[in-house]
Amino acid sequence: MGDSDGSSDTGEVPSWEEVARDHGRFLYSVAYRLTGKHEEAQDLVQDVLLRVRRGLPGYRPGNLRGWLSRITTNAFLDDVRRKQRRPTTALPDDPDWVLPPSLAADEESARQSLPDDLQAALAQLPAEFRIVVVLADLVGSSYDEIADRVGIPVGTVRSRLHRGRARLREVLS
Amino acid sequence: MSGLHDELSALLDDELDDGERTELEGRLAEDAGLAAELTRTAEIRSALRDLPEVDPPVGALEEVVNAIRAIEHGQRRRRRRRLVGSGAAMTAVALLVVAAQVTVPAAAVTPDLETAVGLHEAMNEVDAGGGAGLRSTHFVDGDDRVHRGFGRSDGRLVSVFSEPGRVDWDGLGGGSWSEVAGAKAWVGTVEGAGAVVVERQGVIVVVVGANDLIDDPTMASLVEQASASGGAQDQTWLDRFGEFVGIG
Repeated sequence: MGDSDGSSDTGEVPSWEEVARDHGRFLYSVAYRLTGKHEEAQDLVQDVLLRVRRGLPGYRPGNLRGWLSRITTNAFLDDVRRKQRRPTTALPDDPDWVLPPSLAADEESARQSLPDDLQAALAQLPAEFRIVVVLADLVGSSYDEIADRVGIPVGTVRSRLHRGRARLREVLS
Repeated sequence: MSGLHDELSALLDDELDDGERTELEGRLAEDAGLAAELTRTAEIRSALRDLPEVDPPVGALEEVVNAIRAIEHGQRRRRRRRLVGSGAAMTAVALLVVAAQVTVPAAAVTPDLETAVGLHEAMNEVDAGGGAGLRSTHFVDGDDRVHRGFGRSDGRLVSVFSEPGRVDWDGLGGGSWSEVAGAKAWVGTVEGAGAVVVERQGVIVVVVGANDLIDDPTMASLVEQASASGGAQDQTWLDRFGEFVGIG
């Protein structure tokens, strides 16, 4: 899932629907690693595609996946900040309102979230650490690219990445 | 944890300059604890990089694309209406602005029912014949997030929208008045679709395609949950709604 894998930039600006078709799996995968939940990943992908749709007129063909991962991390960070500003309380379960989940969907999710322990540990990382780890180890971004996308100095990238990995090590040990 | 430890990851990622690398390699040769930490860091780095790409659940991306198409469709309808009505509207808007400053509290707004109905119809079109698989969606507007929830009742689409604010009831036009979940409700028809507007706990809730549910406990439940979410971030009830079958 490297930064340049599959970006297949042809010099033409794709439509948002082409982005969804050709890079939807990549977007979803990054979104899932960032949020740790399929529902939230789906919301994040929707937010990202809305931003892509708005941003495409100003997009200059180049590293499309780099651009997409920047949008994804920005959307994720905005969401984290919004939740911090306006914390919400989950509603109590109301059995009258909830259908039994689809078994097929659950099984699919379980398969896709393997290895569960590492994904669970990743989800426990504070968001600012998780973003750096996801960009470095799952998207394959360089420290300079991460610094640019997240808006932090390279030294902070270095520090957060190592501490994030160290925290994962502790949780898994 | 010192900068030296932080450099271990940078060494693995080939992100050190020559001087830093030489110095760190010297320390690693002398410090078994540091070398062990490098090994453990390499293991977790490798495990992370071996994580498989995650496939979305079946139909998830299609739902997202359909939701965005519905938003696009609604926006196009809205733009067309704006163009058609722009001439007469210019004078009317000027008058309304003056009137609003005099008579309407700043936070009171008339819900944009035409857009709500447009989105509702667009979702119906893009998901024609769809089952109960429609999910909630949302639309980011600055710092506020307008929620749009979609679900089906006996094969019929019901859409729920909520946002923080107070209703300018005078702007709603012809309809009837009722009460839902202990709150005042407007019930009417907009472009052939049934619509219900409720203000509860500082949240405006609009339900489209459901005016015949006005006396049903389901409507009270919808409004309670929509207003309890604060019209803000919480997607929980909308997510449930998207999965919900058999409303009414």
